[in-house]
Amino acid sequence: MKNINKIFAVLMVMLVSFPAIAQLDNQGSQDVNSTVKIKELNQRKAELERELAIAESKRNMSESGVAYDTQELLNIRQDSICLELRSELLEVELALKEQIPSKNINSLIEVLNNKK
Amino acid sequence: MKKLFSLFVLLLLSGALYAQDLVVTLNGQKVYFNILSEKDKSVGVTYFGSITDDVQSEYSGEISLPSKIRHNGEIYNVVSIGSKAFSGADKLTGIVIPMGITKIGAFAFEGCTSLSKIVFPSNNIEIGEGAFFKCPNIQHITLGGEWNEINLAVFRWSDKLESITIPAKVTKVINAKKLMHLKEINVDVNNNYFASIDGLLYDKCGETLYCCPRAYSGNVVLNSSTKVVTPGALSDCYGVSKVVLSDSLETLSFREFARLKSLNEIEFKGVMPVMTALDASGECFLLQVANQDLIITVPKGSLKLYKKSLIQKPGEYKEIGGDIPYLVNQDALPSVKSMYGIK
Repeated sequence: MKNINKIFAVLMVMLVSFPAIAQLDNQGSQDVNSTVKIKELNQRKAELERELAIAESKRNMSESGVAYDTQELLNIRQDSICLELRSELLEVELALKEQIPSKNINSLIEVLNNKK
Repeated sequence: MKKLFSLFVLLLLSGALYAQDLVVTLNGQKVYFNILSEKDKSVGVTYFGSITDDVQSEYSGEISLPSKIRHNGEIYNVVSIGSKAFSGADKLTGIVIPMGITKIGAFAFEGCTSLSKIVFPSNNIEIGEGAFFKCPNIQHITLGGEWNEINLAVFRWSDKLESITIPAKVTKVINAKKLMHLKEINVDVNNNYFASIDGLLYDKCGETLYCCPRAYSGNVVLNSSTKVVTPGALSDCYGVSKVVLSDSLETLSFREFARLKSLNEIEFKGVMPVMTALDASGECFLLQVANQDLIITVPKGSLKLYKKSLIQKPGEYKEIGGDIPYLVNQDALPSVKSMYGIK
């Protein structure tokens, strides 16, 4: 009976611990995913900043020989191109901010585990 | 046990991956907020979920934002509309922004293709870049009663904005010419700085014309006491077919009519031609026009004087008080043969 109780207790401990351990393993891979995601976002951010710098340099240009109203339409179009890029850059920056909480969770788990 | 506890905390904190901290239901519509400061008890309106979610914004219809919300028994002040808060909300038709909101974030209403009505708070408000980018249907705007300055370029993507009313305390209006479809500028009667006469923007006395809206069409008849046409006031008004200039006019640039493609008549009421340009000899009466066949009418008794004064020679000329020389070609000069005297 005592042996059965011991086996039962061990089984119960395993049952409780397994999902937590699995979650922490899972958290480990989430951490890797998050790092990869952050890297991708930072790369995209750098790309957009480069594209935006080029687009901005073309804003409000005035080319000789181009009729005023044509030039105005060109400038309006360039304005929109710049804003599209800025909008996408903003989304990337917001997505990066959203990645930060997962780092905080990892830090917290680390702290809790170290207290054990 | 501790691992289970950390798991619990992990699950709780994973909610921080989303923009919103809380949601409030207003007239059956969920509005999402994030807490900006627990200390100040301030929140901002935001979007639902993650910015990377490929889901349509739920915001729809006309939304009157609250100035305060209750959360966990505490009152929070709504102080901003966050960046991208309503981005892509293509069913949003109107927004009423309450007092206390002092900032609209960048691209906050980007792509709100059905947005037609905006009511701003009376307090001053900072409007972020592209806040109304790709909002083509904005039609009715109520500007803030305490505003001192307006940059109308923030609405430049609207195809439907035909009329705007300048509030009482505004003393500076910029980029009115960015509104391609604006037909009429009105001014609150209590404004001590501006006045609207026939939909055109003047100073309070009606002596200085500041702006003819771009989509104004037909005849522009300047106020009878107008002395000054601010450079650019009439520019790019492609639908204007006739301009009648008051006899009190003292200041007018020769370039004012250069791009008015539909202009086919200019009527001068003054008995003396107004000087409009500088050449090597000094001030002169020069007109640069888009349509060389346009008719110029002047008082009958002054016809000879006007014909003698009108510059017919192409070349470089400056605006009076300006330093930049502009080349005026022959095909931009009206002919004296098109000048007529009228009683």
